[in-house]
Amino acid sequence: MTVRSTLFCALLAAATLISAKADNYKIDPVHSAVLFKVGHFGVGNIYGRFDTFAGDFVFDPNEPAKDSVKLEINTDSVDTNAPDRDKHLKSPDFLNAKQFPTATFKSTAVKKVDDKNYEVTGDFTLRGITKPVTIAVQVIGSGPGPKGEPRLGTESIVTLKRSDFDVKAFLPAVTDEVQLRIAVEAIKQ
Amino acid sequence: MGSLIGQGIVGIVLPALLALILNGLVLRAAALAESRKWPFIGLIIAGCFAFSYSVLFGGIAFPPREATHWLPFIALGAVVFGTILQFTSGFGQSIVRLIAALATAWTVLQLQIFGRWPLLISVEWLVAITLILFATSRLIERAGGLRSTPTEILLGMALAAGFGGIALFLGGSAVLGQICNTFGLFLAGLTVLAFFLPPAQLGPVIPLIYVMVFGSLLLNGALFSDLPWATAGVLWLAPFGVLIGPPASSAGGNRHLRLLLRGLIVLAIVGLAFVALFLISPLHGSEY
Repeated sequence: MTVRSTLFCALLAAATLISAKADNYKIDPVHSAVLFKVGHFGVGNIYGRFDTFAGDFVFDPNEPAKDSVKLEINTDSVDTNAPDRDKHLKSPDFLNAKQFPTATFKSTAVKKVDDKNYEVTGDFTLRGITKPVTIAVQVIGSGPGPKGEPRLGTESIVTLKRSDFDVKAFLPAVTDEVQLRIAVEAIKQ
Repeated sequence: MGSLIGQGIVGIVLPALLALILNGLVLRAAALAESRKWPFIGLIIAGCFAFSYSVLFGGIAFPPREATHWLPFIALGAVVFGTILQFTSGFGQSIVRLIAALATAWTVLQLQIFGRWPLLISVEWLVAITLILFATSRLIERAGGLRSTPTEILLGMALAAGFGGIALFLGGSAVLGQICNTFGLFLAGLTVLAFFLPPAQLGPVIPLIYVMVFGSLLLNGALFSDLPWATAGVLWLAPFGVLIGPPASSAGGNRHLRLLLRGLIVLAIVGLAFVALFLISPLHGSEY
């Protein structure tokens, strides 16, 4: 083996090691959404969203043990396309947004199901109450964004019981189960 | 829809009827001196309020983590403080009243302003709310006792609390509105009883419960929901409408007509509170 080929092999190994290290990603709020769905009077579903949120995650497809997720949602940004209902949702009857302006999720463990699917377990805090939840996360894809920046997209679904977080108004006419769907595009830092 | 109606019957109608019946029994009890009746009546109202709260809010949270969680404890605490007031006098009474006012202000304000607002402003708020609660409870009890009959004072408080519930509802919190409406219903029932079984004195227990509970509800609405401060302030002044006019002792004529007129004065002040509400925080009219 010549010196040149040895050097080439060393560089290739180093590049492989670098690419295998966990990457930090920051959520791009413009291309992300935090949506929720709740049953209404057993008749239909009401959809809403949180307009303001932020978060980041560490992602290593080969070593999920290194992965972690942090998400912070501004509860005052709830939007259901009905201003009077939004006012009600922000009140102490539901989110109590003035006393608890944020809901947060911090992962404690990440389990790889297959190349596209992960189970992220962590602590979800709403209205000052923290409960462990497991979120099913699907990797949608990765690649360069409009400016060539590396991006990763995921979509996550979790069903919470709002009564676990002391949000009990209008049970059971408005269902206890609230489905949270978090669609994220994140930029590699 | 059925579950909401059922919740309304269990959480509002049932405790209101229970309070009416039990308070009627206490007011009619010949074996009890009048000064000893009011603590019992206060306890019935506070107990029914706590029950109503637990139904409408889906349980009583202990230890309380939020300002609204304190409401049933404030009602029960008001009975204790009111009973002490009933059997004390002079400087000792003022101290007890001040402690009751400070405890109420602290429970509502501590989680919202301390640590979030500058300390000096937080302390100023605490002092201001304490003094307002202290002065109001003293004024309703003392000036009300001199210028109005117990029925008139109760009517003023019932109207303010009842319409306060509607204002809280329109101000964004349906459950706070319901619980305040229920409190107004308790006082309305007591007003009816006092009309047919007129007591000689109202004493300090019921005014203190009113001040501590209704004060907490309005503070909760203004701090954590979208009830405008102007509306809360005018509603707070509304019961003083029953002090307008000649004192009850010197006034001749029809006591029913006096009661009606004073009730209308209170309603006029309540009307101003709603004008402020609609001007400051207009409804969008979207049904949801």
